[in-house]
Amino acid sequence: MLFTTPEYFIFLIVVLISIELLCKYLWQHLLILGASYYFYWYSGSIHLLLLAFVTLASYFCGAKIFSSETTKQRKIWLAIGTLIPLIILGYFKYVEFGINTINSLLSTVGVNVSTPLLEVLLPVGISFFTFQALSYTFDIYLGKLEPVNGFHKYALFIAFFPQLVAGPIVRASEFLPQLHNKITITGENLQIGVTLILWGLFKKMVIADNVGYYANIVFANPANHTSLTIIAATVLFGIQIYCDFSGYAHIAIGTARIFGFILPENFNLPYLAQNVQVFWRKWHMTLSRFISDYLYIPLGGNRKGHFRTYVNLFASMVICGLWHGAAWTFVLWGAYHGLLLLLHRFFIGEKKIGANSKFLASNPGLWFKILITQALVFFGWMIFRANSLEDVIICTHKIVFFDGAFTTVTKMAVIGSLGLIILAFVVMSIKPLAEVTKKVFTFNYLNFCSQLNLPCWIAYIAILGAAIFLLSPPGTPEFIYFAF
Amino acid sequence: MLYRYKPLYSKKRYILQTICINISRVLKNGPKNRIFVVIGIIVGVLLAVGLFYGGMYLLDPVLDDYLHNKPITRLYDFYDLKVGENETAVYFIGDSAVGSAVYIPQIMAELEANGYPNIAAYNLYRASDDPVRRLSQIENIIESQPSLVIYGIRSWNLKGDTSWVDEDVILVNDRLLLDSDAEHIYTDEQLEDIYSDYNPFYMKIFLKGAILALFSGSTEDVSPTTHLTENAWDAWTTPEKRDKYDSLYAGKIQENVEITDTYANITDRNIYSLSPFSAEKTQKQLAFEFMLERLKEEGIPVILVVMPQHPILSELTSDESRRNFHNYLNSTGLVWYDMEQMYGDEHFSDLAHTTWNGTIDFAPIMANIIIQEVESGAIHYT
Repeated sequence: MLFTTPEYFIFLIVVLISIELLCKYLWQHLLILGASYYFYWYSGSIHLLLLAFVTLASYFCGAKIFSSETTKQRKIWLAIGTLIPLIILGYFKYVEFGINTINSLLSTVGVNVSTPLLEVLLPVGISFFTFQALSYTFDIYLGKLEPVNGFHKYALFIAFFPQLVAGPIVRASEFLPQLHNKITITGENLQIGVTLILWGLFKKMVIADNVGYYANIVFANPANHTSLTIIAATVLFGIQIYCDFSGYAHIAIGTARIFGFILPENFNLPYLAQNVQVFWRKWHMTLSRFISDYLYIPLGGNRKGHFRTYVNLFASMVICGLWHGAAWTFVLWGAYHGLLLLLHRFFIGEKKIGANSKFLASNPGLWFKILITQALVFFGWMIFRANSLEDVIICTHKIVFFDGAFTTVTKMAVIGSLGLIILAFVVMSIKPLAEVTKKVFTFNYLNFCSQLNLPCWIAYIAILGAAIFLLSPPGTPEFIYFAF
Repeated sequence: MLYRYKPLYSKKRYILQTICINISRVLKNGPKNRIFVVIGIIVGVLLAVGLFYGGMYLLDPVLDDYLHNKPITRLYDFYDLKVGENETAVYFIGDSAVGSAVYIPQIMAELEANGYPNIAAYNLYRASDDPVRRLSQIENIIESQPSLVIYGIRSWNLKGDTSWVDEDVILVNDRLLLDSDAEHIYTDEQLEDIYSDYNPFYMKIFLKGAILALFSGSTEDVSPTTHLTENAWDAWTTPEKRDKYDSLYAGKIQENVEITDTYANITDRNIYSLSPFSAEKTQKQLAFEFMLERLKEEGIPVILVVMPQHPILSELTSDESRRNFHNYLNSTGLVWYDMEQMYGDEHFSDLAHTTWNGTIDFAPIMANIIIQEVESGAIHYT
C-alpha cells in the first residue's frame, strides 16, 4: 500500500475512526498493531511471519540480556539477538548478491561453475525493521534501556505502519514512552500531521516523480547520452532522491503525528551542507545516527588512534552503502563517501587547511563551500543511481572528459545556471542580503504552515492538493527507499 | 477547546454569540479544535478538486489542439475518410521501420512513371506498433476499404506478449470497432485500457506534451492525410537535415563508434528480443493471425514484407530462428517478400531504421510490388 494511493488514505481514515471509538489504550495499541500488520501484508509482502519472528526473537533476547547475571551470559544473548536479525537480513537481501559475486569471480579465474540463484524475494522494509530490532537489544545491553513491559508495545514499535517500510529508524527509547497514554487525536496534531503529509505528497508526486522520469531515461542507457545530459540527469536524480525520500519521511512523520506520536526528523536541508561531515548530519539522519551509535562507536570510533579512526570511518560508510542495496554500485558509493569523510577529517579536521582563510569564513566562502560539497555529493548520486559499475565508468568518463556537445537550449541552460551561481555570490557578498538569504533558506516553513489560521490553512491544502492532482504523473512509482 | 460563552440574554442569542466568537477565534488563531480542522481538510480538498477541474477546463483548448494532432487520432481521422470508396488505396502498416523506410511521394512518383498515376498509397505506421496494438484498429481499416494492405513486419514484432504502453488508445476509444471475437486475445488489463473512461484525471498525462507543443508551435491543424502520404521523415526533419543526418550516421557506423555501444546494448539488454523465434503461439502471433483472417474474410489482399534490418542484427539472428520465422510466414498462406538482408550498414541510421538514402532506394521496390499486384489482377485499378 503506497502512501500516495487513495487506498492508503481510506485505510488511514478507517484506523483513525476506529481509534476514536476505542476507550482503552491497550485496545488502541492492539488496533494499530493489527492495522500495521495488515498494512505490511497489503504492501505486497508475504513475509508477515518473518516480521513477527524478528519481533519475537529480539524481544526475548532483550529480556534475557536484562535478566542475565553474568557479563558472559549477557554477551551470549546479545550475540544471539544481533545475529538473528543480521542472518535474516543477510539471507533475504544479500544472498543473491553473494552468489552473483562468487559466480563472477569464478568465471574471472576461468572456473565455469555457476551456482544457481535462489530467487529470494526481498521483504519490504526488512532493512528498517531489522535495524530497529537491533537498536533495542543493543540499548538494553548498553544499559540505556530497560525491556519494555508488554510484548504488544514492542511489536508496535517494530511494526508501526507509518515508519515500517522506509523509516525513519526510530529508537525504542524515543517511541516506547509515547505508548504510556491513551491515544487522542487532537486538532493541533491533526493540523500538523495533515500539513506534513500534504507537503510530503507534493515533494514525492509533483517533484520527484516528474524529474525522475527524465533521470531514468538517461541512466537507462548512459552510453547514448552527452556529458551535459549525464550531468543534468545526475542533478535531477539528486533532486529526485531527496524529494522522494524526504517526502516519504514527511508523510510518515505526519501520519504518526496525527495519532500523537512524534517521530524523529530524517532530513534537515542536506543540500545546504557546507562539508561532507555536515551533510551526513543532515541526510537520512536516523540512519547516520544508527551507524554512528551501533557501528562506528563500537568499532572504536576515534578513541583508538588516527589510523583506526580512519579505518572505522571508512568501514562504517562502506557498510552504510551496502545497507542501501545489494550491488557493487552501492558499495562503491559508500566507499566514496567514506573517502570523502576521511579526507575531510584529515585535511580540514587535523591539518586545519583553510582554517585561517578569511574568504572561507565569509558569506561568499560559505556559498563556495556549499557548492563544492554539493558537487561532490551529487557526483556520489551518479554512482548510486548507475545501473552497473560499467555505467559508473561510462558516466565518470563522460563527466571528466567533457565532450562539449551543446544544443541551443542546453547552452542557454548552462549560461543561466552559471549566472545564478554568480548572482548568489553577489548576494552573499552583501551582508544584509546574505543574512536575509540565510533566513529565507533556513526558515521553518512547515512549522509556519501548520500554525496558519483556518482560511490560510484551507488555501494551503487547496493549492498543494490542486498541484498534486494536476501535475503528478499517472501511475506514481514506488518510493526509491522501498527497494532498500 | 470550544469556547462556551456565558448566556446573558436568550438561548438563541447565546448560541449565536458562541458560534460567532468561536469562528472569529478559529479564523484568527488557527483551528485548534479538531472539528474545525476536519472541516478545513474537507473544504481544502474540495477546493483542490475544484481548482483541478478549473485548470483542466482552462487548458482544454490547448489539450484539444494537441490531441487532435496525435498520431493515433490522425490515424482514426484517416480511417473515417474511407478513402478506399473512391480510389485505389494501398495501406502500408507496421512500426517505425515502416515509418522511416516507406516514403510515399517517391513511391507515388515511381507508380506514375510506370503508368499508374491513380494509385494512392498511405503510410499508416505507428511507432512501437505491434500486432496486439494494431488489432484494435483492424475493423476501422476494413471499413475504410483499402485495395491492398502491405504489412511491414520483423520477427520481433511477433515474439512474446505485447509491452502494453498504449496510453493514447483512450483518445479514440469512442471510435474503436473492436470485434468481440478479438477480445479474448487481450488481457483484462489491456481491455480495461481500451475501454477506459475519458476523464480529466487520465487526460492530465497529456498536459506536459500539450504545453510543450504549444510553445514549440506544433499544434497547428493539418489534414488527416498530410503525414500519412509522406513518412516519419517529414514529421520531424527538413531535406537539409536529412542529408546531415545521413552523413552523420553513415560516418559513425563506418568509424565503428556508436555501433559498438549499440551492439553491447542489444546483446546485453536484449532490447530487440533476440531470443529465437519459436512456433509456439504468442499473443502477438494470435493478434497477427486474427487480423490477416479478418482481412481475408473481407476480400482485402495482404502482402507481407520482412523489413530491412542492419547486418549486425541479421548476424545475431540464428539460422534456426530465421527458418522458424519464414516457416511461420509461409503458414499464413500469403505472399511475402524477404528484404531483411537487402542493405549494407550504409543504409541504416541505427539497427532498424533506414537513412534517407535507404528510404529513397526502398521506394521503387515497394512500387514494383504494388504494380505486380495490379498487373496480376489481385487489386482493382481504375
